Amino acid sequence: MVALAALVLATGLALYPALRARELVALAAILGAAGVMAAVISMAKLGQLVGVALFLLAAEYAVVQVVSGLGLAGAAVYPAGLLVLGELLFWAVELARLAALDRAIVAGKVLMVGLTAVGGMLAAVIALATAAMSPIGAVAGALAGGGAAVGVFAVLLLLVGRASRRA
Amino acid sequence: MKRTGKLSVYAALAAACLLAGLVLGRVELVALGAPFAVFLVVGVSWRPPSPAKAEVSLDRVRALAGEEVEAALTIVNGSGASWVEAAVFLPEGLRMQGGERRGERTRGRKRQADRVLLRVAGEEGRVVRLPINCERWGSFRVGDVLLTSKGPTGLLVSDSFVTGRQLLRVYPRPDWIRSSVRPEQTQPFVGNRVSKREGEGLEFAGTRPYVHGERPRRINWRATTMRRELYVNEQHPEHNADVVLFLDTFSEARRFDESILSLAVRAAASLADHYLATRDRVGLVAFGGLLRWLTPAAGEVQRYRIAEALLETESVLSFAWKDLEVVPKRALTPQALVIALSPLLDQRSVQALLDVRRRGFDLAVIEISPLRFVGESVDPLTDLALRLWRLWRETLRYRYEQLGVAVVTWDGTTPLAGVMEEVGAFRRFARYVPV
Repeated sequence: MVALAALVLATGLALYPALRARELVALAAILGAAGVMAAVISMAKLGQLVGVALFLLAAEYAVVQVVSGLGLAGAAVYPAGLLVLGELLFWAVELARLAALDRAIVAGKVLMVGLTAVGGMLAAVIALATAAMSPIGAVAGALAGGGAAVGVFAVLLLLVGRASRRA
Repeated sequence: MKRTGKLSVYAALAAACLLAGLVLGRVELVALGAPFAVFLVVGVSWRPPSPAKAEVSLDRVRALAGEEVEAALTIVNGSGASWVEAAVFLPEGLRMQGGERRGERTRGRKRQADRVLLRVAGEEGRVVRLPINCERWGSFRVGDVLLTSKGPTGLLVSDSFVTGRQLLRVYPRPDWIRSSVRPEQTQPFVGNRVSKREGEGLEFAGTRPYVHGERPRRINWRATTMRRELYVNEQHPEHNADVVLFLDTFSEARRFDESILSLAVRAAASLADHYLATRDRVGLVAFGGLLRWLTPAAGEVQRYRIAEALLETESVLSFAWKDLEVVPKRALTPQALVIALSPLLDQRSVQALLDVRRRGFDLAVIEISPLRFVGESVDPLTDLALRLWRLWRETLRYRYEQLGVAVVTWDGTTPLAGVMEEVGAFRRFARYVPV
């Protein structure tokens, strides 16, 4: 189930930039196909190619983003999707080598993946928003935004940690 | 505590995206790397998991081959860990039910392990029941577990290795034997076998003239009337017999899960069970690179002694010439029936068995067929060699049969009862000549 979800997401992430590309379509398609292939192999061969799959899909996105542009909506959703794909692939690899799985873990993992998706999207949105509003230049603003996102999550983590210690 | 591959992948991806964003001046690429950077910071700043502790206990320490034993894996979580992955190392011959074995490198060597992923909330203990199939007999140390405590993000893990101390003894499952090979001679102890000697017993043996002092109730009045002098009845007493199981451990051949030694041990366990149940005394001689023996004795204690000795049986490579002289005299008691379980491959055991017969012991050989473990012949020369070898084995069997020794081949696929019937049939028709 997890492997299937990862495969569907990887295919979606490979198709999205390839279909939106106006130039270098073949290169985007090749990178996307290779990314999906690496994802499949990583699940079959137990995790050796998860990093390669993520890099290839990120490269496809970067090529299309730089050459054709994907718009702000894609720029906010795609990074979160890639992060979730990474989580699903590592989870699928973990599941494949298990003799037994505690049922309670599934709920915790699903919650974790959900939080990762939301958090990833939030981090990308913060980075993009800071870049748009930045008086010091877009890229510097995005970097500052990334830093701000890290700061926001660090503060959240601190608060959650304190609350759990009190409990 | 150590980093996982996930941390390296995410760090590299975040760095590459941020760098590409800077170089190409694209905000979207920085935004692509931002979630990974956030995930890394959150994951690394989370309280790192501390090593977990575990203990394995078995619901019983003795089982028969093919049975299922339940192991209770108690895991006490270290602080900061959300879930614990336990790689349970089971020795060859034991297998976790439904488990899929994979190689696991630990302490510098690669071993096969079954992995279990568990959620162990907080720092409380958690017990997981793991069904273990005992696939073959043997004495196994169970409980080696490699624990990997993971935080919720899975970026940092903490390993701990627990060495198992629980010993599981899996005994070979005995085959059912309907009738045993009847020993030619009995011992003077009370048992279930009708002795050939005459004395006090139940079975009628014959009549003979009365001797002064004999009990009047033994007088056979019918014979007395006919012969006009006092005649008494004679009986066969009920005695037991000594059976020595002679296990040849010089040579070993293995294919998949079956081996010559495992078949021999299975047969020995079945025979020991059967003869002990009929109140005979059973002894064991494991004749090989390492000599082990148990003097014949009867009863339940001897059953356990033999089972324990069989578990320890192994084939030890040795080039030293050994003959019957090395076997203690009390292990081969006089007038014992010696049942040899041998593949008849090693010249030392072949010679020793011939010596056993020449010393006047009642001998039967159950030949554990090595043919099952021989691969297919691939060329005419191998085929010829195989045929010659089979002929040589035929000749060897004939040599034994000439000495009045039954040699019956068993390959483990047929019931042992059939083999014992064959031995019995040979002995019924072969003339017993005390040597």
